[in-house]
Amino acid sequence: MNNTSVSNTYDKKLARRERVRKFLRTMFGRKVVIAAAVMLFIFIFIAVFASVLTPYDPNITSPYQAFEAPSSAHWLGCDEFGRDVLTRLFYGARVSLIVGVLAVIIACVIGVFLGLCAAYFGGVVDVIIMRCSEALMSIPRIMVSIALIVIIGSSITDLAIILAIPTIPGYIRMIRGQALSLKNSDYVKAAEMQGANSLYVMLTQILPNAISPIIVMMTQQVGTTILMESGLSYVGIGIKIPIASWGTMISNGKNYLITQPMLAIIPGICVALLVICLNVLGDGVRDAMDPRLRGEA
Amino acid sequence: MGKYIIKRILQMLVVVILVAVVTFFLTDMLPSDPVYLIGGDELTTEEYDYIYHQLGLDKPLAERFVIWARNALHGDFGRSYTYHKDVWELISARIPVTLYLSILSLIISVPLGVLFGMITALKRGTKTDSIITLLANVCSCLPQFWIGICLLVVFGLKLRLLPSVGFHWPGEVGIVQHIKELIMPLICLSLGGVASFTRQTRSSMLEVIRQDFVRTAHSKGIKERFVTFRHIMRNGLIPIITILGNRLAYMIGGSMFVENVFSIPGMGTLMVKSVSCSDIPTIQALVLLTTMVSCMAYLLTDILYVIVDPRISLTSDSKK
Repeated sequence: MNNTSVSNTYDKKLARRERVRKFLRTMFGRKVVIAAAVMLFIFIFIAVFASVLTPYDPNITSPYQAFEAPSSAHWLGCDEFGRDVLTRLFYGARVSLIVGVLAVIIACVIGVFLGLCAAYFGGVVDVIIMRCSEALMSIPRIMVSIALIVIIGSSITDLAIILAIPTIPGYIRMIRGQALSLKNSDYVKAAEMQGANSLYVMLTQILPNAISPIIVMMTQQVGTTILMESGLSYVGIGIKIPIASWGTMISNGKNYLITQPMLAIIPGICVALLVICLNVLGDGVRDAMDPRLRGEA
Repeated sequence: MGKYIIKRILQMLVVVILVAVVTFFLTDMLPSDPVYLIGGDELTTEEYDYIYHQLGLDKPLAERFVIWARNALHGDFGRSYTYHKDVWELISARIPVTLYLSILSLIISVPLGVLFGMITALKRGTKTDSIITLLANVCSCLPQFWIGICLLVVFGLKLRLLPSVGFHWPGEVGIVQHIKELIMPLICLSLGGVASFTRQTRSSMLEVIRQDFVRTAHSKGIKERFVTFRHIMRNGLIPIITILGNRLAYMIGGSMFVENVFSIPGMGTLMVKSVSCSDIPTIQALVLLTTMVSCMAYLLTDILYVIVDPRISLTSDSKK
C-alpha cells in the first residue's frame, strides 16, 4: 500500500518533469524563438546592470560634448545636451521593461480575480463586472490611458497602472469564459461538497485549470504595452523628460532630424527589436501551450 | 433583427451613460484647481470666489453632473480652460480631420490586408507565405510614430519629395498638395492595420480550409477556383468584419501619435494638449465623443455581422 503511493508520487513527479521538458522542447523548437529569447535576455541584462555597464550618468549634461559623433568613448555619440546616447538607451530599456512587465502583472491579477468572481458568484456580481468591463472596452484603449494620466500621474509605476487598466476587461472575459465551463466539473463540485470556501475553490480548483490562455495573453500583452508606453512618452505625457526612456529620446531627437536623424531613429529600433522579441516569444509560448498545436488534442 | 438592433442601441446607451458618469466623477477628483487654471496663479480672494461661483463649483457634485449632462446633450461641453473657447467649437473643427484620416486608412488597409492574408493562406508553407507573414509580424511591432519619423527623414527631409508637416483640406491648398500631405500619415496609420488584417485573414481562412465542407467540395471535384471563392473566401472573411469596428476605434485613438509627428490638427493633438494642461472640460468631451464614435462603429459591425452570417442569429445573442 505504502509502496504504491510512493511510486505514485514518483510517477507524478516524472510526468510533470516530462511535461515541462515537452513544453520547452515545443516552445524552443523553432530557431527564431531561441534567438528572441537570447535577445530578450540581453535586453534584461542591460536593463538590470545599466549602471555597471556604462561609466556615464544618463542625466548629467555636458554642453561642450553636444552632438559629439560616435567615438570609442561614446559608441553612439552624444545627444543635444552632451549625454551619452548608449547610456540613455540602457536606462531606457529599464523603463520599458519595468512598465511593460508591471502593467501586465497588475492587469492579470485584477482581471483574473474579477473574472473568477464574475463566473463563480454569477448573478448581480456577474452583471456589474461584465457591464463595467464592456463600458471600459468601448472607450478606445489609448483614450482611457490618457485620461487616467491626468488623474493618476505619470511616474513609472503610475504608467504601469494606467496602461494596465484598459487591458483588464480582456483578462476578465477570458478567465470568466474558462471558469464558467469549469464551474460545473466534478472536481469543483467535489471540493464544494467537502466544505471548501469559495476563495479556496476559485484559487486552487478553477484557476490552475484556466490559466494557460491567460499566460499566453500575458506574454502577448507585454509588447503592446511597451509600444503604448513609448508612444505616450513620445507625445510628452508619459515618462517625463529628465528620465531616459526610448519614447522621450525619440521625441527629443525629433527636433534635430535634419542634422542628427539617428538620435530619433536608434531608440525606435530598440523599441521595435524588444517588441519583436517579446512577440516571437509569446508566439512560442502559445504554440507550446495550445494542445491542438502540440499534437495531443 | 429590429429587436436585436434596439437591444444593442439600449446597451450602447447604458455604456455611454456609464462612461459619462465615470469620466465626470474621476476628472472631478483631479488635484489641480480649475480656478487657478483659468484665472492664473495670482488671484485675490474675491476674484477666486467669483470664478469659483461662475464655474458652479459651489454646488454639490451630483447637481453639477446633472447640469453638465444636460448641457452636453445640447452639445454644450463648457468652455476650455486653456483655449478660452467653447469646447464644442474646438472639437468640431478637429473631429472631421481625425475621422477622415482613420476612415481613409481603414479603406486602404482592409483590401490590402485581406489580399495578403488570402495569398498567405492559399500558399501556406511556401516562401511567399513566410515572407509576407514575417513582414506582417514585424510591421505590427513597429511604433507608429517612429515609422512616421523614418518616413519624414527619408521623404520629407532627405529626398524632399513630400511636405513634411501640416494638413489642409483640398479646398485650401488644391487636391495635389492635399494628397501629397496625406501620403506619409496614411502609410503610418495603415501599416499596422494592413499587418493585423493580414494575420487575421490568414488565420481565419486557414481555419475554414481545414473544415469538412471544403474537403467535401474538393472531393466532389469542384474546380479549385470555385472552392476558393465560394467556399473558403465567403466563410473565411466573416470574422474580419468583427475586427473592423475594433480597428476603427483603435485608429481614432492611435492617430494621436501620427498627428503629433506630422503636426496635424486633429483630436489626438487636442487630447495631448488638454491632458498636459489639465483642461478638464475638453478631456471629458473628448473621452465621451470618442466613446460614442467607437460604440457606433462596434454597433455597425455587429449589425453587419448578423446580416452576413445567418448562423449568428438572435437566439445566440440572448445567451451573451
